[in-house]
Amino acid sequence: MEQQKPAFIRFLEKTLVFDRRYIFLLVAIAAILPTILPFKLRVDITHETRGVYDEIEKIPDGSLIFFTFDYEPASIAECDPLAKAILRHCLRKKLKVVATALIVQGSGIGERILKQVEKEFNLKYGEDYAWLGYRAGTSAMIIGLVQNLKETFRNDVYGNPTADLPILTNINSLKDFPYLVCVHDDSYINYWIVYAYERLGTKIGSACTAIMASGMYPFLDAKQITGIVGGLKGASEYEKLINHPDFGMKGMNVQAIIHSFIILIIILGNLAYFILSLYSKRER
Amino acid sequence: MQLYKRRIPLAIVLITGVGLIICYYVPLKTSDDILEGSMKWVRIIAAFSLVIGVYSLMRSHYIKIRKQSSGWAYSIIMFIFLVGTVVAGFGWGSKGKSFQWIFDWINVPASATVFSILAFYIASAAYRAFRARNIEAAVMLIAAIIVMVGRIPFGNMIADKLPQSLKFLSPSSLVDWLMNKPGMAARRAIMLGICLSVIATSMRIIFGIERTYMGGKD
Repeated sequence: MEQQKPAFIRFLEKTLVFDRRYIFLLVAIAAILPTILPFKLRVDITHETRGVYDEIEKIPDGSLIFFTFDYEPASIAECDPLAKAILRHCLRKKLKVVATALIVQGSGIGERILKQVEKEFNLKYGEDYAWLGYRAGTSAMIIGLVQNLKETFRNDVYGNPTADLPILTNINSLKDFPYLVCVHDDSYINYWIVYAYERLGTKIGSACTAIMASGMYPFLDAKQITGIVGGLKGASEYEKLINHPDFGMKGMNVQAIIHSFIILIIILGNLAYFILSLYSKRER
Repeated sequence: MQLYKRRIPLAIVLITGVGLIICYYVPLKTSDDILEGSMKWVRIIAAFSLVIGVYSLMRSHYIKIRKQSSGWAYSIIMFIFLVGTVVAGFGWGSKGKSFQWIFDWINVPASATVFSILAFYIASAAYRAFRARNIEAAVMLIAAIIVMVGRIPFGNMIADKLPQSLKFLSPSSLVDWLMNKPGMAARRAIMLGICLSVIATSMRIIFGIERTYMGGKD
């Protein structure tokens, strides 16, 4: 009967079923506090992130690099910092960026990011970078890029004939690019690996959401990709490598607090569950 | 009738399927040219699938409005935004300010917001449902906690406090082991299974065993 149970047991029973809106409120506080009271957290570089950074470092300054924006607006919190950090690294090395998108929403996102870095680095369109945009037919587009880039993209996103762009002089296909960076929030990188890496041997770097990062390890182990820059943690590591703190590092503060909070409530919830289980077994 | 409805489509699928497989793997200029031409067809047909998708969306929401089913007012809002975006795109171009404004200030924030709500639901579900009721659940729980701790800077701070002989127990070392050994093994097995089933299904479609794409009975 209820009155015979110790107060502690009754308290635990209530905590296991309390209104989830209190948890929502605590998560909101955990997310807001680090943004208004920022603090510095240590960032250690992992070998997965180094895999992308070191490969880009090896590319001679002034060479070409292929960039793809294969993520949707839902993932901008994780993927925008990744894209910006890697782009900044490329542009500091004066690498010439040719970008495209495998998905239609990636075209709007890619344009936004490229315009931001264009202002930051004072880039000249057509000479320092080119934005090819989106074409329908995911694998068909990549096969087209593998065979004939200018035929697949006769015009860039602004209507300029690709044959007239200085950056694409003497460029025939994806084979002419030493490295490809795929910023993705789903398994779009699989298409690049199948059609670009397997056919041409193009080196590929993956910059993806944290959820996708765990699925990239088989490709990393098989050396089909050179590295994985995963989630906000990857973005913060890359920002540390290029010495340009931005949203990746700021976002890690929030992520660290929220992860810690979730770990704490999981442990407390399980402790309460075990204590109640032991108590009910003992009562029986 | 069987000839036009069944046999000719099946023959087209067989010839193009086998032909393109051969063209993909045979490194000749002729096969490269055939492949390039075929990919142009694929890109054009893929663009038409957008038209079908939009028609399907409009039809289902129109039915909802006509029947005044639950939430039909949202269907009207959907139509307003669909027509508005199409008018902005065709009227001023996809590079026009109005189209870009719709993407930058409605599509992007709305998508990001909906995805952000997941954080709250995950926290709530983790507290209320993530219980170590049996050994498998306990193993998953411990692995999840190790990965979460290893992915935040606090994990490295814990590692610094460990003596050298116990450094292999640091969260980042454990996360490395989890991702590179059992996690990768499981992922590889799943990916191989998916690839084999994709190959099997593709072969079934090419050889006419699987005919659901033609509509009607198999």
